[in-house]
Amino acid sequence: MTVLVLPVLGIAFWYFGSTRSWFNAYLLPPPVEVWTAAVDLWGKGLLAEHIEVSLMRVLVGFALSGSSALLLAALNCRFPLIRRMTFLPLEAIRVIPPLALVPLLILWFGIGEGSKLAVIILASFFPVYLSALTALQTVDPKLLQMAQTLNLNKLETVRFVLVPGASAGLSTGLRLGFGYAWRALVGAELIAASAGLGYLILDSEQLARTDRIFVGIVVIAITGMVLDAIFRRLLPADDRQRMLGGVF
Amino acid sequence: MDMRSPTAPVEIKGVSKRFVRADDNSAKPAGHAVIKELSLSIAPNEIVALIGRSGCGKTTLLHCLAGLVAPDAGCIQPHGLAAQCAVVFQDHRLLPWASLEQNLLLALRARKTLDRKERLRRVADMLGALDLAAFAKTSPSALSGGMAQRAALGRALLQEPALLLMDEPFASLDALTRADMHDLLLALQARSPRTILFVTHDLEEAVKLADRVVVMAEGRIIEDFPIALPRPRDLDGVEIRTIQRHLRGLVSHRGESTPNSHSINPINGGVSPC
Ligand SMILES: Nc1ncnc2c1ncn2[C@@H]1O[C@H](COP(=O)(O)OP(=O)(O)OP(=O)(O)O)[C@@H](O)[C@H]1O
Ligand SMILES: [Mg+2]
Repeated sequence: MTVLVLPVLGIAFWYFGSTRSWFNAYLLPPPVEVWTAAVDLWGKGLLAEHIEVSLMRVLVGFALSGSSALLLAALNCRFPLIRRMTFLPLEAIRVIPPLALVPLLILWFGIGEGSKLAVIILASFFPVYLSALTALQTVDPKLLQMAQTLNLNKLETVRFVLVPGASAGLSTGLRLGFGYAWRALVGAELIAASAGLGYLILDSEQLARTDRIFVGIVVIAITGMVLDAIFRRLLPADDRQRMLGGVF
Repeated sequence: MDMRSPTAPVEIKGVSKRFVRADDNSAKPAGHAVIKELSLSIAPNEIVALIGRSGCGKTTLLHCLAGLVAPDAGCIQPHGLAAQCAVVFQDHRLLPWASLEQNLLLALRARKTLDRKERLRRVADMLGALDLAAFAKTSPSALSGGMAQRAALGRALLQEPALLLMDEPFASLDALTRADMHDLLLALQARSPRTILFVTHDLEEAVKLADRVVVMAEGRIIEDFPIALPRPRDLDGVEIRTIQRHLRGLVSHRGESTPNSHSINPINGGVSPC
């Protein structure tokens, strides 16, 4: 219950401030107006559509970046030569903000889904890659040595020792990466989008509909938290036993 | 050629190992000789205790036998022994994310000929023999140190190793638990004997358990002492105490004059044929 204290106080302050005209109603529309705008958008089926479009983008983009990041981390953990060779290029790409690449991405991939996915991928690749690499490299070497004396083959060592040993770091990386992907959404939808929560916000700005901007922001926050909770469920860092269920 | 054959002794012939320090950046780092042309033969089903000062190379020798470290020179017989070794480390090294039963099942993983039922039966038998049957589904983190080390011993025995290596296996246990482990080991050994090489810092443990005590100093064997006393051994007996005093003298002394010291050849790498 204590987690709700500040949000409830904040909304109460917003509500009473609005009724007493403490704020400029254009810059900060009253909560009731935001709610009405949300109901309106929902009734027209627009909100569901925006959510769906954004969800698909993030899921597809994250599936691509997450799987390639895990793959590259695995390769780089296994082959130090590849790790050394890819180090500088990866570092260079990592420090470039994805938004700085948008003009180039548009030239390369056009204004379709490709460039939007590219922004999401660039934003979410590195958190997954770096956490996964660290997690794999820091698996207790004593347990790997034990696996060797048990004559486990490569695959068994990966399955029984490496992956469960790295699972906490792997799932933290995936969660982090998903958060980054979600937050890159608006940036991605800056690129000539015609639907999506990012588009909703930009479009509302041009129409001077601050209430809808707030709807977009709140929906992004709530959806993001719901997705994160689902994610945590899917990737139990503290319950590796379940991940291994039945494989022994 | 049956590698599990109890009639084949384990032969270590002229094994050498150098470690290059990580901070040595010279073009041809000389390294630091840890094992120096060491030879040792262990008879089938013999229990050999390996003692010596810290840093004299005991763990390195065990790792050479287990295939965890590649010797620079020398040879180990029978061929392919490393795959036939099981190791008990000072820490139990049970996978924390697997149950006790799953951990022991891992020891049978490499035995592709056994079916699942047989594996489960062997693990259940072993857990029974170790008095751990009630903890089959328990996580290792819920076990006491003694129980976990017992499980580690059971896991190693399930491998049915041609050579069981133990590196200070009971050092982290309290005195009473350690004595229980000694009794357990001797009971298991009486039932189904194994060839065992174990490292210890505890001279009492060495003379209580071993058929032979081998003393190492600076990468060489400086004493190879058979203990032909019947078990169970009375640790307060005159003979045992005399042996212990003799061994203590060897260990606490820097073993400069070595009875069986070979001429010191520069180690030039390359494994000699044998
Ligand atoms: N992987 C390694 N790289 C470099 N040097 C090593 C390595 N392993 C061991 N050494 C060195 O080899 C020497 C012998 O080590 P070893 O662990 O075999 O000794 P030990 O007799 O088992 O000692 P203790 O009784 O303390 O366990 C030590 O000087 C150690 O620093
Ligand atoms: Mg040691």
